[in-house]
Amino acid sequence: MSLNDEFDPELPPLSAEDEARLRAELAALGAPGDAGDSGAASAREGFRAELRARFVAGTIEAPVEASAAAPRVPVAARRPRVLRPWAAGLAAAALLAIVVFAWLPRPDSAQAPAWTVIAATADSTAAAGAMARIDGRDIALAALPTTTIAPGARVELPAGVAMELRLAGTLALETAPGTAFTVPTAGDSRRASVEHGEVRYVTGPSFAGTHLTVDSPEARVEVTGTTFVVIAAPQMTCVCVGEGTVHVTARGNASADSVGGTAMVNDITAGHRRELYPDGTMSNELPVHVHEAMKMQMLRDRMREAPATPGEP
Amino acid sequence: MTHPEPGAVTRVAAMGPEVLERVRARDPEAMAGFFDRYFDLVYAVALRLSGDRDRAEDLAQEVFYKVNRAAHTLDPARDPAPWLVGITTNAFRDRWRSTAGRLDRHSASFDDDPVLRDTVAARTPGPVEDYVTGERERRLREAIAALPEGLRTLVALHDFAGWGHDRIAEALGITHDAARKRYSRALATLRRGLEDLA
Repeated sequence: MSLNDEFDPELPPLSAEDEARLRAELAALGAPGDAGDSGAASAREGFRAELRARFVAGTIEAPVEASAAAPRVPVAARRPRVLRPWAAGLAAAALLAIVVFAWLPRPDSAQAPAWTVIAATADSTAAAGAMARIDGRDIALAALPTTTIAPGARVELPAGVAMELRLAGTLALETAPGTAFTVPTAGDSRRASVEHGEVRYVTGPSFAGTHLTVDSPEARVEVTGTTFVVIAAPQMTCVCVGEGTVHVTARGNASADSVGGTAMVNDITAGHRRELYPDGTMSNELPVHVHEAMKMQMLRDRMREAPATPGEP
Repeated sequence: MTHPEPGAVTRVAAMGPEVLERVRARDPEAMAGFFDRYFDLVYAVALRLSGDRDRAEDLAQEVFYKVNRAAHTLDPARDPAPWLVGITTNAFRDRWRSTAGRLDRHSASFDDDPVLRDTVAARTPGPVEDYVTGERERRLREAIAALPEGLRTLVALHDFAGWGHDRIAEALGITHDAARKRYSRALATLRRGLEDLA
């Protein structure tokens, strides 16, 4: 995309006076003051050293979105952080630079209906020439809108690239950038997975009577119709529920169905989330972050407001 | 022609393609070198954008987290600095636009930041001046967050990283004239975002 596309031709020219003032304000913005600022522009050494070690070791984690209510944590007491930046994801989903946006007619096929790519987006972290990998085939981003995806296909999105998929009237999926996942299979008992990243699911009217199971490294999520998101972060899986109830099973390290011989199955009700960890433990029900609730609501609204396409039930 | 670089905070030379190739392969030594080379740039831009050490550290952590995950997509033929600054400014935008981010800013306390507290104490401005200045800075940050991505990155490179138009042009693969015009366009867009303020 050319930067020229971003220019507003109606923008009035800036006077020299305004330009000088703005540049002075930019120069002063967040800059160290003229008193007591020695070293203010440097990060605290403990933080820098710890971040460096984690970056080099590949164990770096996304910071938790700062909470208005939470007291600031002294740097010396900072703990490893495990949550993805929820709000960043919300804004990224809403504001990603659009690479492609397309509506496609549903394929007319006697076989199981294919999934339609509703939108594919890329942000600045996407490399030039980045390709999505779908069932082992590399697909250029520009070609994604004309790509249909078979049920059960494995999709690996490159960094910075996200997509929204829909199975007309039945299911809609929205991913975060860089997610690797398996599209739900066809039939009354659908299977899907999230290897890493985030996938948001919303069911439509045609989903009624069917069953969906979503596996992540730490969780198995079973639903019969709801709106939820599975976030497979590096150190845990978070399952958030917007509507209905899902049943979630901690997978643990050894078994998909049991931990220490005892299955850990719990419900997650609307408006709540649980975090599941590699050792097979899971959190109690916690409130869903407001921005995640909004993202689920937005996907649900798009699903419900989608124009009928040929062949759509 | 190189413009003056107000507020320049850091300069870094680009890493060579051989080292960047090793970063792509996540070679620990190259990763360490990459961090050492670019951390100050990322942190400096984050600090200028956020105006707060803790938030700057959060932003820097988020940037290097994303870099770690996307290392294999790094283009070894290009200077990664604009890419890093782009990630930093996007992370700032995302946090700024999140409700939690705004609330967090409203609830910030000088007591939590000794540097800020000492700086403010030394300047001893009046409460009205404090408010006006703070409001204008808040609106300026808001306007920066609202800039299109390319322009936001350009402003950060020019005004926070201290790059001249020549270097920006070279790094972005555009002409000097284009870099200069885009910068002017960015300033005009920022001005529009502030036009209801005196």
